[in-house]
Amino acid sequence: MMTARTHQIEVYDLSTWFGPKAVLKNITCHFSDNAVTAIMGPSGCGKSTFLRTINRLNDMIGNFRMKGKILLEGEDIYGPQANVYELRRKIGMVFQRPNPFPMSIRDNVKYGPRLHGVKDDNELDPIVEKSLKRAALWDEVKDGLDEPAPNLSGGQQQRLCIARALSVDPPVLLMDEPVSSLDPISAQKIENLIVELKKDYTIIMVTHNVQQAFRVSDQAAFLYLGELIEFDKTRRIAEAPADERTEAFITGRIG
Amino acid sequence: MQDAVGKFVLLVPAFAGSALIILILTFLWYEATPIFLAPQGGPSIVIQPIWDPNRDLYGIALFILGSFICTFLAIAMAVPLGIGAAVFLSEFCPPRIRTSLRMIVEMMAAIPSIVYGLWAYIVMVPWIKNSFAPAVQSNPLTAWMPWFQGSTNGLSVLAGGTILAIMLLPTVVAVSDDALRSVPSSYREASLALGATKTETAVKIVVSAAIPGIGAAIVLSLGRAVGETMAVLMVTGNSLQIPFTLLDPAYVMTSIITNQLGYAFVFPLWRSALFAVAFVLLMMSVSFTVIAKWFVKWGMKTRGLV
Amino acid sequence: MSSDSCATSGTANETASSAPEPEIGPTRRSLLWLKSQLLVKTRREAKDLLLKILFAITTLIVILPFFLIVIQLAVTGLSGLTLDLFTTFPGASLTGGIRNAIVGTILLVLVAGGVGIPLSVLGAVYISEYSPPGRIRSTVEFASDVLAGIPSIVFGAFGFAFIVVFLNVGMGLVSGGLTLAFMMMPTVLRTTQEALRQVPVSLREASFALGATKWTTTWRVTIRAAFPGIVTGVLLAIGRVMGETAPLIFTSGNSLTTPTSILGPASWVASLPFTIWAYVSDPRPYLQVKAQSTALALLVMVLAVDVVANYISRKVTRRLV
Repeated sequence: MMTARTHQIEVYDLSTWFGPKAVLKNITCHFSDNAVTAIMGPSGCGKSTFLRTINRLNDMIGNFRMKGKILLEGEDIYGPQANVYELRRKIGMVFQRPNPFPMSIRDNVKYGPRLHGVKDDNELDPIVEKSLKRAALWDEVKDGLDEPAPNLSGGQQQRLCIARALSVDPPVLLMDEPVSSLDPISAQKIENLIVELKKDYTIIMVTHNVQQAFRVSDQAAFLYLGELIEFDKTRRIAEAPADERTEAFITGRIG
Repeated sequence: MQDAVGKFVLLVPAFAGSALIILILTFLWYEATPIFLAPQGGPSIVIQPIWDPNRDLYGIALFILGSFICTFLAIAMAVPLGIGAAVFLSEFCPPRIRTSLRMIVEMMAAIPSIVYGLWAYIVMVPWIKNSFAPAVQSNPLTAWMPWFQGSTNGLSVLAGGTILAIMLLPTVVAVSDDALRSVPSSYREASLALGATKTETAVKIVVSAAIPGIGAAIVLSLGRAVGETMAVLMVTGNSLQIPFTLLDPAYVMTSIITNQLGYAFVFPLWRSALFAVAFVLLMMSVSFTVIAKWFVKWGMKTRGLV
Repeated sequence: MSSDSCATSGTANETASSAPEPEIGPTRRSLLWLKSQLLVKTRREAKDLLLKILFAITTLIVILPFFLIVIQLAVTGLSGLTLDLFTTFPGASLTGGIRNAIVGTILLVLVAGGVGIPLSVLGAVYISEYSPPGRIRSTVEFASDVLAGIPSIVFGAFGFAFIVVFLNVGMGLVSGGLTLAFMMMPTVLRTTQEALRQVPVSLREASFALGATKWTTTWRVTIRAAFPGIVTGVLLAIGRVMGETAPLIFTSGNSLTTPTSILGPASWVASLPFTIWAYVSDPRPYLQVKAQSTALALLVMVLAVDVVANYISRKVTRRLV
């Protein structure tokens, strides 16, 4: 970390709109590498929009507009030279509800690498194994790789989705409330997995669960009505929130 | 009390459909029995090619073959076009254009088959005779092709297959479009988030997830193609011969019933043979319905969606 | 932070904290959209664009026949579409109008609807309100799917064998109308069932909570709420049978006037599709033109019914969503 590009993801004065409605207002923040950053806030505060702006998934929505800059490894991802497909390869995403494709477990994991030019099964099979191992799913599914993915349990499905995201080796991983639809035991497994994964990945996780954010993250951001109220070390925010709205949120008075 | 009576009263209309199917089966079977019992008939009429009421020969293989060829041509044209249009409608089309396109497709489905037939007879048949056939037969690129040989008056399996394809298209498009649109958008997002383009997502994820619905659409349109009557009757030429090329005429199952049942009325065997054709048609349409249902169930199971 | 991003931050700050950024106009929006679609930087993007164009062309090919048919009928048939065509009966050598066919089609639809609609609506009410999901319901649903798939000529042959010959009703309005009624049943049953299914359970529960019986609830609340959906299904079914030819060839007979009796040869009845077929099978050239005028009339009627049906169903979906 000697160059100016200390951070893989830097956000400068990001504002977004859906039609006339402003969703995010002047957000500037730098996400630390190899750390988990939790984005907290009450529902409707723009957490998910923020996350989906980082991999340009909002582009698909007709009336979406944005201003400001998001840099990935120093390059503006909304710039004229940006390649959105390559960008999305570098930024993996895990969604709120597990959404494995309706195909076999193996094909789910192969899908990403195939898109990006890996055609040979001799190369794909090790990727499948490696990704599933990293997502702590390999031992449970190695004997049934050709089973339909939707037959897995909810927690397994979500880990498969993590494996699918890891299959294209992205440096950054976005997670949109990845455990909110799961039972407590599965959620626990995935939380542990997230802590494990941060050694190799920069993880940005949206959550409305304060305790979870404190358990898992190194950095935390608090969004309220589209504004970034606080962005700091998680421990610092947990101990002494600088803004009274943050305090109100983490003590459960707003949410 | 009132509820119990109500339930009982409604039981009758509820089973009207089932009763009707049993009635149809019974009566077609009853009418077809004579030919199946006759010495020159029997179940083997489905593989006997000679149909000559003057000599009391009632082989119906020719009609089955004719229907098969026209249906095959229609499906070969309608399925790729229909799925392509459905993918465009559901995945790429701006919403405002989509509404009008869907409306046109609904209207195409509503056009009566006699109108399609009339148009094909007045426009398509002369076009095949005067433009298409001379063009392909004089162009060195296509002239050698065996399926473009022979002289034609335009009334041909090509005309029949094409008008059938046009008639099937609205069904294929509408049902496939519905199937594609019922694929959850979370699949699309997951694919895009992995760096797939929109067409890669559409083809590899959305279409593959919608295969059960699309498959059902194809099987249902197979049934419609085999059973379609007026349009095919008007343009396939109704000639008792094996069509060797696309420009040859043919005789399909529905046409022989339509053309001859009126005359055959007083000749027991002849009439019975025509009802045998109707019975075969009925069996085919029932099996297509069953296959379509089974297909959806199978697809849901292999995809873990049930 | 570079000085460059500081500069942009200043402008963004103002816009975001003041009024929301003004919307760009629809034309400019479309142009921007088109530009973003056509911007190709990599091979994969080129393939993406190429396939999109291919899908769009496919769609054009699919809807092309609709316009070809409408234009052909309009160009040739419109001249014959005079008031006389609708108001006069056919004269010598089939000159004159098609009043017989128009009245005949209306009569056939009335008979078919009179028998087919009540039967299928009541059947749908039974399976969606009275029978638990299970074997009875799936039997009825399966039966109506099978019925919907049976070819029209098979209905014609059955109508001939059963109604005309076996029941000895003879050809005419009753036999033709009943055969069409059979064909209507699956469509009406399925759409009614769907319309009833979309009525929220809470509405029924509200009625039960007031002490209403099932019977009262069904007729006063559920059916009333599902009514537009049922009408849509009925209209779609009517549009379909209006254009049917094959079921009528051996059941309705044909006539140059309107029927004067319920049964017997005086009840033989003409219809628009049958008339088109009769005209087009006739070698006289003026009848070829008249076939197209008649087809244009039929097409307009069928499409009008279809448009009304779709309009109602769209309005209903909007209200429910």
